[in-house]
Amino acid sequence: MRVQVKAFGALTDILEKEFYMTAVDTEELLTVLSHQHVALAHRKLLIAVNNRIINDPVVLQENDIVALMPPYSGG
Amino acid sequence: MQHERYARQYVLQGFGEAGQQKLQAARLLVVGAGGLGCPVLQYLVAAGVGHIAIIDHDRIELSNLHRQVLYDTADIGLPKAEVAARKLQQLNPECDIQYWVEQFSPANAVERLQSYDIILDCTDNFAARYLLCDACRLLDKPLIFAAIYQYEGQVAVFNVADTHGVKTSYRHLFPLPPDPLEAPDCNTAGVLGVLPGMIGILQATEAIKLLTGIGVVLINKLVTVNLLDHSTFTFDIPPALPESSSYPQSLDALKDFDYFNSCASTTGQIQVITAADLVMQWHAADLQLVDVREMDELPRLPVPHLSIPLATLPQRLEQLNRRRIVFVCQTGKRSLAAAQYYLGQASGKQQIFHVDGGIMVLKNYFNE
Repeated sequence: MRVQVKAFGALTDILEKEFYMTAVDTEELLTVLSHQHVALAHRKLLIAVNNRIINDPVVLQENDIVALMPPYSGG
Repeated sequence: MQHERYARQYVLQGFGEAGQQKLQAARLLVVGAGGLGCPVLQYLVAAGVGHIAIIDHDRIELSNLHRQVLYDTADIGLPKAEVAARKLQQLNPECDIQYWVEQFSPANAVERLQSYDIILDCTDNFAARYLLCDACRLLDKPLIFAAIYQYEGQVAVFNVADTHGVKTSYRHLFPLPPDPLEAPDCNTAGVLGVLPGMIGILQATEAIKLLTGIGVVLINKLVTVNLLDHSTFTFDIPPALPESSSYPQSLDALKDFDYFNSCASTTGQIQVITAADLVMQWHAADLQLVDVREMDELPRLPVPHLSIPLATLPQRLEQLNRRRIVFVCQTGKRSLAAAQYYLGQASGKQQIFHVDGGIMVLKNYFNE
């Protein structure tokens, strides 16, 4: 499925802020991105599909919006 | 109510005298009196919150002043909590203000939180954030969370039940802390001065809404704000807490939990080397310089080095065989990522460095 990915915070040092890609589910999406970008592997990040934060992999539908967000520490 | 100070507020429909009285009766604890803490404190004290406590062990620095607007140049070197309490008391003499110049720690967390109704997370590091998250969860205290990065902010309200009785915490978002290198603080990443002002005011707003019952509070939701493009997103937080045995499940366990090491497991192992230090020793036999930029990036390094673009690093690990490995890139971002990745792969017998500022700084030395 072709989905839109939005990167937040320091992830935009690694990924484009917004881009489209194809993946069956969120697990495949992360695997593909981690393979393309070493710096992404093993990072702690939050994944949301259509503004819902998920804990477990989710099957993606056409035009879903996947947000990838790192924790921010600043205060 | 005959009180001119709050007159513009209690005439508000839906707020009223009842709302003002709820603020007056409230007891709030603000953890951290920095970028977020300043606006949070200023607005909540001004709004008429009856009792406010501040805990912060830091002292005011010159580089704080572009965003921590409660402080003056003359305050540099003084403890933030003490100066904040003094200025806030002038702002509103009716507010009962208490402060502690001490680090918020597993040893004092429970004692400090116990007598307050709502806690505001204005901290600037993951050790304090996870400690606060766990302590508030175990004590069942509402926690208003905010955090910032460069031009972006996050805000959420934790440990308050929604209409289904569900409560969430910071660990629902990020069950375990990141490696600190993944999430640089304001000191290393920089921050636009107005950002904590905006995000802190959102945080103070949620406190006022929660106390007075007006509007819709950010319960079980995370809001993100980006100042550069005005984009805001509201995410639903799932009710299930990902299972983990790696955080404390009781107040006794919390006191013994090592937040500082669990949140800083690898920082000490990647060393930063400045350009000036590197040029003194880049011909040393035990030192291997690794350029992780793409092959066509300029300027080229004028000394012997390995060229291993970051994406190909996993396939070429065996080439890194000297005692000291120094990663370098254009500005210092990719070299840090490379060092971080390599740290997870290396045997532990090597010293791992990355060049602060990268070739953009190093090139100033190329002709010498």
